[in-house]
Amino acid sequence: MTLLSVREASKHFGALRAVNEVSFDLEPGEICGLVGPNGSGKTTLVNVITGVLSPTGGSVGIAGVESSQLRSHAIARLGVSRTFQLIRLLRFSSVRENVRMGLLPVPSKLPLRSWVQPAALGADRRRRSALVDEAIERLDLEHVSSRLVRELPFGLERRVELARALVSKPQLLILDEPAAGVTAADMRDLNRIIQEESSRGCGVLLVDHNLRFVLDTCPRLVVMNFGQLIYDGTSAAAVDEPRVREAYVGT
Amino acid sequence: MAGFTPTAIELILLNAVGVFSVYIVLSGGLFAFAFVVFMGIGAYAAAILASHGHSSMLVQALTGIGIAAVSAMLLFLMVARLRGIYLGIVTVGLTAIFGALINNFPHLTGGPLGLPGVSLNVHLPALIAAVGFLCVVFAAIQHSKLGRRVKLLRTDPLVAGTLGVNVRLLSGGLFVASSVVAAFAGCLQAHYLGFVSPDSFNFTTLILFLEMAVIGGVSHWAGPIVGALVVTMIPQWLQSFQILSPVVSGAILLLTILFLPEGIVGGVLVLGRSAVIALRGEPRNGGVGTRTETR
Repeated sequence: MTLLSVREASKHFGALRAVNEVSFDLEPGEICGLVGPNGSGKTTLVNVITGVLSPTGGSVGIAGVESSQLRSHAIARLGVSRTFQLIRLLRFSSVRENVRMGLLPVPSKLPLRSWVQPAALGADRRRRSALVDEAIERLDLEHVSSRLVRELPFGLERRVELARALVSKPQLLILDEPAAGVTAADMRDLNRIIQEESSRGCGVLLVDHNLRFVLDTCPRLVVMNFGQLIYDGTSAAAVDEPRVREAYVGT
Repeated sequence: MAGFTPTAIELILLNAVGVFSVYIVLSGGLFAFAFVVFMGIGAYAAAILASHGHSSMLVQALTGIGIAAVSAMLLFLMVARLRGIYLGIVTVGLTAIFGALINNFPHLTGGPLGLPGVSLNVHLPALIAAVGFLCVVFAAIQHSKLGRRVKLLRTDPLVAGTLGVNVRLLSGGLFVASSVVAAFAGCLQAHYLGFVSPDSFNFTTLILFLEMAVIGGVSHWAGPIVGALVVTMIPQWLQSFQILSPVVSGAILLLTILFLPEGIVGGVLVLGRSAVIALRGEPRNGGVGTRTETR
C-alpha cells in the first residue's frame, strides 16, 4: 500500500500560493528528497502533511487513511514523526525526558483491567524504557542522557530531536533540514540512520537545501519551486533537468 | 519563624487551594484568568444555598463545582480558538462582568454588602486535608504521561500536537479542571470566613492569585504552596512597615520573573542541579563528550 499519497494539495495564504496543487506518492521504505530554493514551499508542504496546517485544497492520505482533515495529533498517531527546521526541544528537560516524549503518540495497548495489575504496568514501563534506551544508544547520546538540553552543543541537540522522532518507530519519518549546521561526521551518521530506517520499511521524506547531502542520501528527488512541483524522478537525472537547474542556479 | 500564627497558616492553606486552580491552567500554558469567576461561583453557591436553608456543605460544594464545571465547558467552547494574551483579555473581562453581576442582583447575592450566614465549619484540619489531597493528586500527575503532555503543551503546543497530544482536548480539560478546583476553593473560603462579599472576587483578587502562582512557579506541584506562603506572609512579616508590603510583593514578583522564570520552586530545582554538578567537579558544558561542536 502507498504510504503517503499527496493529491493536488494546496495551501494558500490569501493570494500567496505557498503550495499549489502538489501531487506525489511515497512507498514504504522509500527515501525521497524534497528540495527547492528558499521560500519554495517545502516546509509548508511538510506542515500540511503533518496536520500542523490544514490544506486549502486537495487531499493527503497516509497508509490509506484520508488525513487532510485530521489534526496533527491524530496524524502523529498514524505513525508519522518529524523533526523541525529550527530545533524544538524542551530546553529545561533532560535528554532522556525529551526522547521519552517521542513515545507519547504510541498507545500503551494495555487492557483496562491491567491498571490494577502492577506486573502488567511494570512490564509496559520497562518496554517503553527499553525503547528510549535503544534510541539514545543509536544516536550516541548515552553520555549526556541525564543532561539538560540547554547544556548541549548544537550538533547534539539535532541528535536528540532525531532520537525523539525515531523512538516511536514511525512508518513515515519527515526530516526538515536535519543536516543544516552539522558536521560531516554527523551527516554520515544521519545517512546511516536514514538507510537503517528505510530497510525497516519506514518511508523517509528528507527536506534540505544542501543538494550534495540529499543527492548522496536519496535515490529519488522531488523538487519544488514557487509552490509547485517541478520535478519528480531519480536524483541522478535531476541535476541534468533544465527546470531544476534554472530553479537552483538561475538562468 | 515569626508570624506563623494558626490563622496565618490557615490563610496560607486557603489561598494555596485557590492557587492550584491558577496552577492548572498556567501549567498548560493557558492564560485563562477566569478562576476568580469560578471561585465566586463556588462561594456564592454555598452562601445562596445556605441562605435558603440548605446547610449541608457537601451539597453546597457539589452544586458550586457542578455549575462552575458546566459554565467552564460552555465558556471553553466559545474561547477555544483564542490563544495567549487574547484568552487573557477575554477572561479578565469576564471577571469584571462577574463583579458587576453580583453587585447588581442584591435580592440573590446580597449586592455590595455580601451574604452572611454560611456555617463556619472549615478549620485547620480540613484545610490541611484539602491541600494534602491536591498535592498528592498533582504530584502523581506531574510524573505521569498526562503530566508530560501538559508540560509539552506549556512549552510548545505545536510540537505537542505532532507528538500526539490533542491540544484542544487537553486545553479544555485543564480549563474545566481549573474551574472545579477554583469553585472548591471558593466554597472553602465561604465556610472559613462565614460570609461572602463581592470584594473577594474582583480584579485585585485575580492579581493576587496570579502573583502567588507565578512566584511559586507552575512547573512543579509544590509551586502553589510556596507562592501562597510567600505572598500571604509578606504583610505579616512587614507588620510594622505596612506601607512597604505592596512594594516588597512587587519587587519579589519582578525578581522572580527576571531571575527565576520557572518560579521559586522551579528555580531552586535548576540551581540545585547546577550546584550538584559543580560539587561533583564536572565542567558545566565539558564532559559532554567527544562530539562537541560549536554552533
